[in-house]
Amino acid sequence: MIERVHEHIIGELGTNTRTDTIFVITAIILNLVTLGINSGLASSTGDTTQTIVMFTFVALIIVVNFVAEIGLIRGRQMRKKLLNGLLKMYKDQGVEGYYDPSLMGDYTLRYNLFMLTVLFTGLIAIIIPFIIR
Amino acid sequence: MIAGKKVLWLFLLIAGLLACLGSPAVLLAQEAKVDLSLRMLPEYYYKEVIPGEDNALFMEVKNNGDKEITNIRFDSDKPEGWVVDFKPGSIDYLGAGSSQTIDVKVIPGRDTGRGEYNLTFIAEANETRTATSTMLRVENGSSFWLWVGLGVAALVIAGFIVIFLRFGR
Repeated sequence: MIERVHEHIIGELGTNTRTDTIFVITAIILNLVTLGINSGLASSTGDTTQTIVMFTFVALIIVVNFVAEIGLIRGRQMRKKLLNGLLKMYKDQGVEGYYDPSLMGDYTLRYNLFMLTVLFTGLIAIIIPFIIR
Repeated sequence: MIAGKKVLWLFLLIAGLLACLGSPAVLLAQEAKVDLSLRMLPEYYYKEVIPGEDNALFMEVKNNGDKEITNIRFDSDKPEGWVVDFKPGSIDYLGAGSSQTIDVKVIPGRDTGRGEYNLTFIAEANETRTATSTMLRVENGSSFWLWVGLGVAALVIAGFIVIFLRFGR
């Protein structure tokens, strides 16, 4: 049974990684695409319609980035819980020496860097078109 | 005899035509032409101007007619907060075929935002009136949209901090 639980935890960790990757990549690609679109709109002769379209894209950036940030925070918490379970299991089996607990700190740092990347590309996608305008 | 009458009628016809051509109405139609033109020198179209500073432009006023033009005054249709000065401010007399360069000092308002601005210069004389326009651009002005962008970015950062504190535990 413990092997099934182990496989389940490993499977959950894999799903968690894929989900987080999708969040990060989607947010960054959307930020860059929106940066291009809004920069184009900002540099053309601005009328009300273009301003409305620009603000709609800004709203989209904000929503998607917040969703990605919340998703990443939840993903980090989930990974921490799963790894804690895994560590406890290794401890019970007397093989904890093969898994360095400091890896959990590294994961936290990695998640924070992902969130920072998403946040900064989002901020750049918002500010640059307004500077051009 | 008949030939003599024909000559007389021909003479009267020619005399009548000459009288018509020399009448006051025809003379009025050939009255001296009044034509005043105002033009911006080409290099001052779409020129960059700096808010709050003196920006010198030059334009030329020319009398293309064959009659002198008197008391030419200059005025402008400008964006709000802009100052436009002409030197000389007026010309008392501009002879037929002659022209004069006018120095135009343009001071955009300090708060002028970045963009393109249209200015119309008007020359009004006792005899006629003319106008020309130019497009000027402000590149380094304070931008309203920049502040909007910074405001949105500040809100996003604040929102991120709230989310991080609320969900990050």
